[in-house]
Amino acid sequence: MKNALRKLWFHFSILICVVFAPMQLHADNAHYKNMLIGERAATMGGSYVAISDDSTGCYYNPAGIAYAVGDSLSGSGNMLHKMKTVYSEAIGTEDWVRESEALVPNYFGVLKNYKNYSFCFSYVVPEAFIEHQDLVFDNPLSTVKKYYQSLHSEDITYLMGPSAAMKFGDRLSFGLTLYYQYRSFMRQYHYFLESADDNGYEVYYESRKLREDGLMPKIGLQWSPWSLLTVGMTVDQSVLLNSSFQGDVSFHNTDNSTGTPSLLTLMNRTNSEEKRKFPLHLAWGISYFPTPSLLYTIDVDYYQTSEIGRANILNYSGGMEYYLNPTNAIRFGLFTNYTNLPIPDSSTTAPYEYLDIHGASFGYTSYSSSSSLTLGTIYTSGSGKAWLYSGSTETRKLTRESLTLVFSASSNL
Amino acid sequence: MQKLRNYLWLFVSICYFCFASSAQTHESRLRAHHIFWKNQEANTDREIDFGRGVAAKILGKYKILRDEKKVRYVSQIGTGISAQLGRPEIRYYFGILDTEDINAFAAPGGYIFVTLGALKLMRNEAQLAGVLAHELVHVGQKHIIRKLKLQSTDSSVTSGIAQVLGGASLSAKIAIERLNDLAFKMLMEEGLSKDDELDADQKALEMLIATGYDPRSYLDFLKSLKPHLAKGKAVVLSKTHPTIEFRYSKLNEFINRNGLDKIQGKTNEKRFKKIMVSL
Repeated sequence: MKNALRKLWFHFSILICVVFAPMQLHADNAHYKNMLIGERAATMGGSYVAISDDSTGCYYNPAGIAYAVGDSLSGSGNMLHKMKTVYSEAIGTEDWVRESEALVPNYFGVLKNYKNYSFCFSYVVPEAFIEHQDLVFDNPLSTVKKYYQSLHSEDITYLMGPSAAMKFGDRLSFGLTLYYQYRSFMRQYHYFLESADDNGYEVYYESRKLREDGLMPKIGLQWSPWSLLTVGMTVDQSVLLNSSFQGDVSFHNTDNSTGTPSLLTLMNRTNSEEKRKFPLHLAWGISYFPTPSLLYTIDVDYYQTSEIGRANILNYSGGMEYYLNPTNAIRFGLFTNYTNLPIPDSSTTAPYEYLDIHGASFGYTSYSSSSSLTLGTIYTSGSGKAWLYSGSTETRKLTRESLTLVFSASSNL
Repeated sequence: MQKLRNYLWLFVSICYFCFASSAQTHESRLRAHHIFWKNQEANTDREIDFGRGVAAKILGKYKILRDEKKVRYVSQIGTGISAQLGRPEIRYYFGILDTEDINAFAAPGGYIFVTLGALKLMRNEAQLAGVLAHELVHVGQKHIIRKLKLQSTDSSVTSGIAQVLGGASLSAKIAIERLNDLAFKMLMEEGLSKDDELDADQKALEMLIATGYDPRSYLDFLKSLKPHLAKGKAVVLSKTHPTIEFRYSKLNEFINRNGLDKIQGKTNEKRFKKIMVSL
């Protein structure tokens, strides 16, 4: 009986590790800069607070749209956003590799200028994780003959809303964006596990759905203390109005190893309307325009959280833009995407992932008289530790890489 | 105390520097493509102004035909072909000159004229389209502007045309008047370069094919000019253009080289004759 229980617990620990880790990961609330938005901004590492002089400014700094040149219509599509996460030796000696792939049109904006006022309507997808995975492991552990896992998950956050900006001369501008925020999350997870001695198996099924909606006001300022220099600052915080979560879990385990068949069946439904608390986000940027062909920009993002179990963090980004000639421009950018989880210590237990990410971006834009076309790429890489096994302090090496191909176009109205 | 005074002066100087330069703030943020296109737009506006002056001189020499039906027809054909030029910033104007001389003219900025004599010689719409396309290419490629060296050949944003035509002073106005005279003389006496004419012929042929017209009709029209040149009915044309034989052979070469001889487009002969019946 004791052996049977141990075996059951062993199986159960695998179950927990596989079940809870995705839950942690796929909302990826641990990072704030998972997708870069826009054409110029995205290819300059998302460093745009002190520039923002096109419709993308609605998202980065609404004050910047006051300095947009002409009316415009722009849209961008992350042609392909691919992410690969590897948990080393997570299932026995096997690595657990998770791949997410999404084709997301993540920005659309219309901008109109009236003298000293600018108005914009934008649609942004700042987060999108789509994962469809079916894995089979043969003999991952000495006690497990077969392990099959199926995971289908989608987690997308949408922002849409108007922006307005006003400029006070050529030095100072003020802007406001009011986004309606909507998040849709669903996950269906299933696994089947067969013991090595053919005496037991486990079947697990889980379905989770989350709908959130709220508002995200963003206030921005931009100031030029010197003709070749601009500084920008923004403040924003999302506030949820509604949140609805439903989770269904069923678990079935049989064990005949002792000669007396044992059976464990669990079924559970959870509902919750608890609203998440979002951090207060402050961003500062500084841009230097030495010539009409060159600019440098640096941003610092600060997130102050009031959520228990989160830490305040700073993210940095920097970029440059260089015009080879008036119709061809290239851009580079570097950025950080640090985790907002507290630094782990000896008491840290699963589920927990500590991962800091760094990224680089490159882009090329071709301009015609009335339109522009941008192609770019964003690469991110990070390594850290994952606490996978429920209640255990044992860690596994965690690495994550992502590659995004950016395609975007804008046209003058 | 002295130290404090120095810091104060430094602070005041920095503030003055910041605020004094602030008037150019927005301009300094403009990127290369903004500046480039702002200048392009300015150049186009000046090109149109300049062309209007040249067009006025053409209309001073020839009377304009006041036949709304025919002028509208020529405009419709010309506007349809002009979409192939790739200069959407220009609005094209078409007119018929009431003269028996056989010719067609293009003034910079989109002013296109065809003579009544040329229309009488034409047999179908494809021939009219060919002649208009030839003139449109002169505008599209800025042949006159380039020959007058109004536009600098370097890539600097401050081009010659901006300097000369953008000036509002009396000397600038006199310079513009002088340039108008030179352009008019070029149209009536000197002509454009042989290369520009051949370029216009070749591109006109491409435009005809792109718009579905019969390219051979344009060659037929060139051939039909020959006896009239001999009779002295196209004095200006013969002075300002390469010989018909030369143009014809070059176009034939182009057609054979690119395998265009099998292309059969529309001629719209019936429609052309219906509208031009009273000529």
